[in-house]
Amino acid sequence: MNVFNRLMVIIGLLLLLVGSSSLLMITMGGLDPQQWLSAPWHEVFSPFTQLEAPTWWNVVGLCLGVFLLSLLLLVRELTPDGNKAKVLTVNKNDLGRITASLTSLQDLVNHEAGNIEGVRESVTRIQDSSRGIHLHCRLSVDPNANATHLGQQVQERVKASVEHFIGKPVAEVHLQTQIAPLNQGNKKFYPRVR
Amino acid sequence: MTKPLHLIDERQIADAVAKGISLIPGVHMPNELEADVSTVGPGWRVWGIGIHRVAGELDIAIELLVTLNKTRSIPTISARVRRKARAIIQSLTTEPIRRLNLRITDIFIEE
Repeated sequence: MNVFNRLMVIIGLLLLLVGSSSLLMITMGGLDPQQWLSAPWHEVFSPFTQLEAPTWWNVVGLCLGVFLLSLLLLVRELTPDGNKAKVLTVNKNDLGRITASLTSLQDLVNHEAGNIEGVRESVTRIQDSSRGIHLHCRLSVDPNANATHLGQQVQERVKASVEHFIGKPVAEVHLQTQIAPLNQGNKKFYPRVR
Repeated sequence: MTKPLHLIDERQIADAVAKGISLIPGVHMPNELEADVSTVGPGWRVWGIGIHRVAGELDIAIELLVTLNKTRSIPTISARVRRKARAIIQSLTTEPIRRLNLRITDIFIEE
């Protein structure tokens, strides 16, 4: 959505908020249309002050629904999109910017680490800094594997792969190994190999 | 004397760029479920390409899914995509390109 469309949506939602809250106030008797509105409009809104029980509830319910929905959408629209920040800048110059999704890069690292014999699972977090990329990997390893040797193998392979595929230097690879399976919640892994 | 600009429809640019860069090995355009940006007009939409005109210049955003292998990395693919996209756009219009941003939304490995 471009800036103009977004602005229109925000203005529309604000109008809905003001409209629904005003009608709610009029219906509930908190606002007198004859005092607040000019000639033709107070005649339109005055009947709302004299509504009978079932209609009154319907109008109040509808106004409350519209008000809450508009508020929710407005908050959602004004909150910065978290997904936009979840990218790694691969290159930036006068020609433009090249970014890659952090999730896909993390899956790439997990795939590379998982290809090493002795590694059962891997969960990676990637951070970028002026020194290069920082990888924080949690590994679930085979109990019979030599942790020191395996760790070194993972560090070298992951560093080489990331530097080749992304073209940025890897500043450090932090490893945390455990024998127990990693608790990955309900995260689904999609095949990374074609 | 100022050279007249040949302004063309965003759809032509988006269609041509999407078609052209899809031919690069290892490059796939995102579908409607995978794309965050698109170029839209009455009754049509090109997913994965965003085109804006800013002060008479073109601002292009391209989303890609890439398949990498031993010889194909993000920098090599990005350079090819940028070169191809620029060549396609410049063959269609004389409008200058201000920025050409690439966003890789998903990565696959070819073994």
